[in-house]
Amino acid sequence: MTAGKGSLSCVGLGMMLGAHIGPRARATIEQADVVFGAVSDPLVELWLQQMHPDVRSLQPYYAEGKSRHDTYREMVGAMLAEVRAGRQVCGAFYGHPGVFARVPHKAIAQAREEGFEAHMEAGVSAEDCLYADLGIDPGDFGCQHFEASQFMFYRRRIDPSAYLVLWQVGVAGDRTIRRFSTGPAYRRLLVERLAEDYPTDHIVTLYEAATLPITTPRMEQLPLSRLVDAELHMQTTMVIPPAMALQRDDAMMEKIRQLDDGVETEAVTT
Amino acid sequence: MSNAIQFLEGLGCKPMLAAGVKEYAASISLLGIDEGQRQALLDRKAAELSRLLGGREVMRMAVAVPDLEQSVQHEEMQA
Repeated sequence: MTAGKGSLSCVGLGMMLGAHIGPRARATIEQADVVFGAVSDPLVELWLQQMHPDVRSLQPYYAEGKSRHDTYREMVGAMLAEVRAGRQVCGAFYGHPGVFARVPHKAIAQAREEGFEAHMEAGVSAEDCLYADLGIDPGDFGCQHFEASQFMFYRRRIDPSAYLVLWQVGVAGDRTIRRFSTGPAYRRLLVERLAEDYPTDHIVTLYEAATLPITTPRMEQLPLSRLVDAELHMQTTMVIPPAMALQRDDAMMEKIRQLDDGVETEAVTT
Repeated sequence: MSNAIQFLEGLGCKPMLAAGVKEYAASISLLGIDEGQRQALLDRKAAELSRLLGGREVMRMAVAVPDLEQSVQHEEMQA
C-alpha cells in the first residue's frame, strides 16, 4: 500500500478550555490522522485527548536538565516523521501556535521545505487575554514585547512611554535553555537592566491567563524592585506600564503641517 | 468524553454559568460523576479534579527560544 501525501497543520486551542477554540481548529483536530498536543494544563490535555482517538502528548520530550533545543528538535522530528509517513498530522498548541512558539514555526517551515503542505491556524494567545483582563489597549501608547532572556542578552532600545511586556520572566537569564526556573540573582540583573529606564518603585503586573473556566487569571501588582523575590512560573508574563508621557515630535509635526498647507492650497487653486 | 471534562467545555462557552453560584452548583448536581469529582468542581479545585481524572502531574509550558541565533546554530550542529 502506498502512503498518501502527508500534511501538517498547527492549530491554536486558545488559552481557556472550551472558551477559545475556533471551528477550523476543532475540525482540523477531529479530521487529522494523528494529533500531537502541547498544552498548558492537565485538564486541557484530557480535553484534547477526548477530541481524537490518537492524541500524543509532547510533554514527555521535556526533562529537567535537558536542553530545550533538543526538546524542540525532537518535537518537530516526531511530527515530521508522521507527515513523511503520509499522514494528515495536526499539532495542537495552547494559545496561538505562532506566538512565542518556535516548534510550530519550525515544523511548518521544515514540512514545506520537504514539499509537504503545511498550514498554521491562528488561536487566542495569552497576549489577547492579557489585553482583555488588564484593560490595556496597545493602540493607546504602543506596546513592546520581548522574551525576557533575549531582552537581557541583547541591547534593546525600549520606549518607556509605551507598555513593555516581558515573556517567560520565570526563566529570565537562562543561557543554558535547560532550566524551568531561574532564581533571584538572575531577576536582580533583570531589574538592574530595567532600572535604566524605570524607577524601581514603578508598579508592574505579573500576569497569567486563566486556563480553565473555573479559575481566574493572575493579575498581581507589585513594585518593580519586588520582582526579585516574587513567585514566578514558566507562564508568568510581566507587564510594565508607561513610566513617562508621550513626547511630541515638534519637528515632524511642523513638516506635516507644511504638507497639509500645501495640499489645502492645491485644493483651492484646482 | 468524561462528564466532568464535558462540563468544563460547556462552562468555557457559557461564562454566565460559572459566575452564578446557584446555577453553577445546580448544573454540577445534574452530572453523572462521582462525589470526589463533584466536590472538586464545586470547590473549583482544578488540581484535585485533574488528579481524580488521571491528569498529568507536571505540565511544562514552553515552546519558545530566547535566542534564535543560538537555536539555529544548535540545529545546524545536530544536522
